[in-house]
Amino acid sequence: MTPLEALRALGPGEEPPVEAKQRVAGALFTALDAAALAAAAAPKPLAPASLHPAPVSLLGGVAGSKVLAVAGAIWLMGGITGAALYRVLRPTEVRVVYIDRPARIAGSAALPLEPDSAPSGTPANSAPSGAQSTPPASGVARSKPSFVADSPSDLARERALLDIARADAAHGDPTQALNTAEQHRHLFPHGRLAEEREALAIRALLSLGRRQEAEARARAFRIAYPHSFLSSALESALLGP
Amino acid sequence: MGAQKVSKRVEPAPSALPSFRALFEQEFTYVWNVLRRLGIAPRDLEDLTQQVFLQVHSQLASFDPSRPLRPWLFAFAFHAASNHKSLARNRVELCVVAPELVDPLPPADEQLITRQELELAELALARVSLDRRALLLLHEVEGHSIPEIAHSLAIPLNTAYSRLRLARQEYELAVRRLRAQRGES
Repeated sequence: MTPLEALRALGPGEEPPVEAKQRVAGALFTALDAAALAAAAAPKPLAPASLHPAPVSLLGGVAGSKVLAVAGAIWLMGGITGAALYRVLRPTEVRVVYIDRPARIAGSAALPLEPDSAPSGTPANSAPSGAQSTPPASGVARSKPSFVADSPSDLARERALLDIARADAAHGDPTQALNTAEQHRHLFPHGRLAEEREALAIRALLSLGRRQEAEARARAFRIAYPHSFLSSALESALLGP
Repeated sequence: MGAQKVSKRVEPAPSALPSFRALFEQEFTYVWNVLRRLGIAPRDLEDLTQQVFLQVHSQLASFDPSRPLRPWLFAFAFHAASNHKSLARNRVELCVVAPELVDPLPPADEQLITRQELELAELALARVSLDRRALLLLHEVEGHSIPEIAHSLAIPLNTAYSRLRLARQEYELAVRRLRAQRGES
């Protein structure tokens, strides 16, 4: 038998251990189920608080441009009608400005509170509709310390951190996933995505073989989030070998 | 040849996109063995197999059912193995252990020779560089055509032919060296 003939005779290979297949299937389908649930339950992304102007309807923009071009052409030719049309059709310019506000963290005395009597016409009312966390204009509510870093930018930071942790876990690096989750815990102990962070951390601990820590943290998770949609996925993971 | 049989067996029915669950059940052993033959350590096989199937799941919609499934799957395994081995902690060359064949009866001389040849082939294969090993596995072991392999691995056709030629040379050299170490002619 020549070396190449031996190579061709190798065949499909050995059958992997049955328990290995079960472990991979359990972890794989649990992760996929959890991802599907998380995707279904994820809130729609908030409009970022930035200086970008509000989007204009594409159709309206194009149609308006054509009318303006025709009217402008007539006006340029010196027609009085063209000038009148241009004056009528000239759009009123509306400028919308969003202002990023610093997040107010508990005990952050360095951040001055805004005056109670905000002048009328402040941009608070022009904030993006998705920013439900924007505090009301009442002075009492503003002076209350908030323990949840809940500005849109904080939520984006939370989400970015957890995206990194999730990517680490998907790339088979539970150590880094756990580190990132812990970083989130340090920065946002009561963040809006704490529930998701805890689930990620528990799964990372299980992947690292730190079962006792994972189970302890899972007990705390059950108490803190008794109706969590992530519970079933976590229970399945905890039942694994 | 057995390789030809394997190749024909894996051809999917035209326009039949398998469900992910069915694909996992059907191809788990294949992906596992590809990763093993690409040099992934036994301790990492489960994680890498899971990673490959996660990738497959995310790309399943892009699979062209008119093409054979296994070269497509192989590409995922190959990229996962390449990335895994590019990490510093995974660069150590691994000693490949040939699969144990269970046979309660004393093997006949011919069987013994065949088994030794197969072990030698597995060991020599492990000494071929990863890029070339992929060509040997897909073409020599599984019997896929070079154009199909070039398409799956996204490499030019001439590169695939050249890589196969070099892979054969590297493999035969490895066999000769292993035989010399064993004191065989």
